[in-house]
Amino acid sequence: MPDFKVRQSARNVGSDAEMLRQIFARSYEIMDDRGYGYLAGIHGYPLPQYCEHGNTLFLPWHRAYLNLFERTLSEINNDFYLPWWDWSAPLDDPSGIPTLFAVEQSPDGTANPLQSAPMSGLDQRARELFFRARLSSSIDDPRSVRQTGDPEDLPQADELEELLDAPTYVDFNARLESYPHNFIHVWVGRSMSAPPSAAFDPIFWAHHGMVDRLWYLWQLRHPGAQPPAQIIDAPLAPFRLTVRDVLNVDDLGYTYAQTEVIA
Amino acid sequence: MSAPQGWTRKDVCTYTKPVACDVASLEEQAFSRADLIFEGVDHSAESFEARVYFNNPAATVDSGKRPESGYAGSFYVFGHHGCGGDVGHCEFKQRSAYDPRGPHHMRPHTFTVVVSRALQRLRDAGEPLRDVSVVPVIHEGRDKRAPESEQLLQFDRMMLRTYSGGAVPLPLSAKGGVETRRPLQTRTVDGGASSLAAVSGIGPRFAEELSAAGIVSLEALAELDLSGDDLMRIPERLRERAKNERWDEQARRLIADKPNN
Repeated sequence: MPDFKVRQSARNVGSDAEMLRQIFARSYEIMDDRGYGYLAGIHGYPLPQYCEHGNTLFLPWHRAYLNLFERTLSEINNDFYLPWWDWSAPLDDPSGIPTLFAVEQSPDGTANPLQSAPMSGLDQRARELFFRARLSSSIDDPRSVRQTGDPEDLPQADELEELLDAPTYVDFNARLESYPHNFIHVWVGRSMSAPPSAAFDPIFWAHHGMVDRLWYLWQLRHPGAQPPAQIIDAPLAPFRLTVRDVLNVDDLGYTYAQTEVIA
Repeated sequence: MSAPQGWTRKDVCTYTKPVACDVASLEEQAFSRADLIFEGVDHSAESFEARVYFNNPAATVDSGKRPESGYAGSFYVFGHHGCGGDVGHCEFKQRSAYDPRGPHHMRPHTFTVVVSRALQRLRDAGEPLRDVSVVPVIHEGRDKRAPESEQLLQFDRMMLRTYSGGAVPLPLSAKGGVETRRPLQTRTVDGGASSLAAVSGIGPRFAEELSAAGIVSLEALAELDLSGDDLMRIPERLRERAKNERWDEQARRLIADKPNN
């Protein structure tokens, strides 16, 4: 199954790091609906803002979104897979963000494309709004920016273990969204701290990779537990998927390399 | 900017509410979990942390998160941070259930803070829960500060809900697609809100389904008009019962009959 993806921890990508940097960098250059700007813009700006937050569609919508991102970037190189950021893992960079996404320079001395991305596709009003709100680097050539918090504040493994014991989908979805999900957006800061700009920061994809992985782990621990009946056939716009379609990651063509919380 | 009913505001937008909850009475129920549920939380401005304190009405952004400060937990608001549309684009408007766009993107959110340990501490110390305070905190890298806008933290109401009896897995539904675990017995102890299960015809399981649909309290149910479009906000399989048994009217009567009203 060459198309089947096995997602890896960002700490464990090894020699794949250069491939991942090249694919992200290439996606920044594509200005149509295969490019990074288009994909990042689905979450927030340019309008319409499609992301689902504060309701029971939070986890399914973002699973569909990551699937689109992974499949679209695989057109650049079919070896692409989405790395996840285990916030509870021992630090491999003093910033608290995985080295792959944290360092300013790639090994060849060029700017690391996973540390910051261009915010393409925004109209003038969005560019001005982002700059005024400190969500971007500039008005004319905006890029994603961060202002990270104290690494000691990052979630601990026992907190994630407790979360995985949530008895129902509704409970798990709601608690996970506030903490660690919303917390990490606040902790990374700047571009990541607002839904309209968050997906332009490359760490967004690894962050949501971990959110999705936690849902996957919760599903393994609670076999048969489903989202409420009233959302099971809800569409996940703009994707051609419903909640039911995204319940099994195998059906979406990927899985996670490890099943324990700590990578 | 007015405070939610029953809450006192200070220091720009820190809120405190007396709740007078006898924690010793909770002990008799052997509760296994306690949640503070904040409804109608605005998320239109910048992102922030909302820290919740028990019995510390003087709590500020500098109070920290140690148990001695009364810290009970936090919720985190992923703030929209301004509007990039035309005038009115980010003003919340209730949409019809027939609207193919789905809910408005500025629909207020509900947050749950699990406060079991904080309540346990009060019980162990033999203290009642006298008041709840909510302190918004802005994160700027490693620095934390109080917000400058008095409109940052806005919410409609808070409930303290305890659970007893433990979570007992039931056999899986043959059809699937439904939460298959027994809802925990719930008891709302905050004076400002009441349990949905007080309505005749709504048991713990229906209450759970209504909560999943965003109708998390008696007050939220009372705001609906189930003779009109609001009926579509009720999960489909409950609609006929909700309409025939007039759950909205029952909710309004129950609220009106409460001793404090």
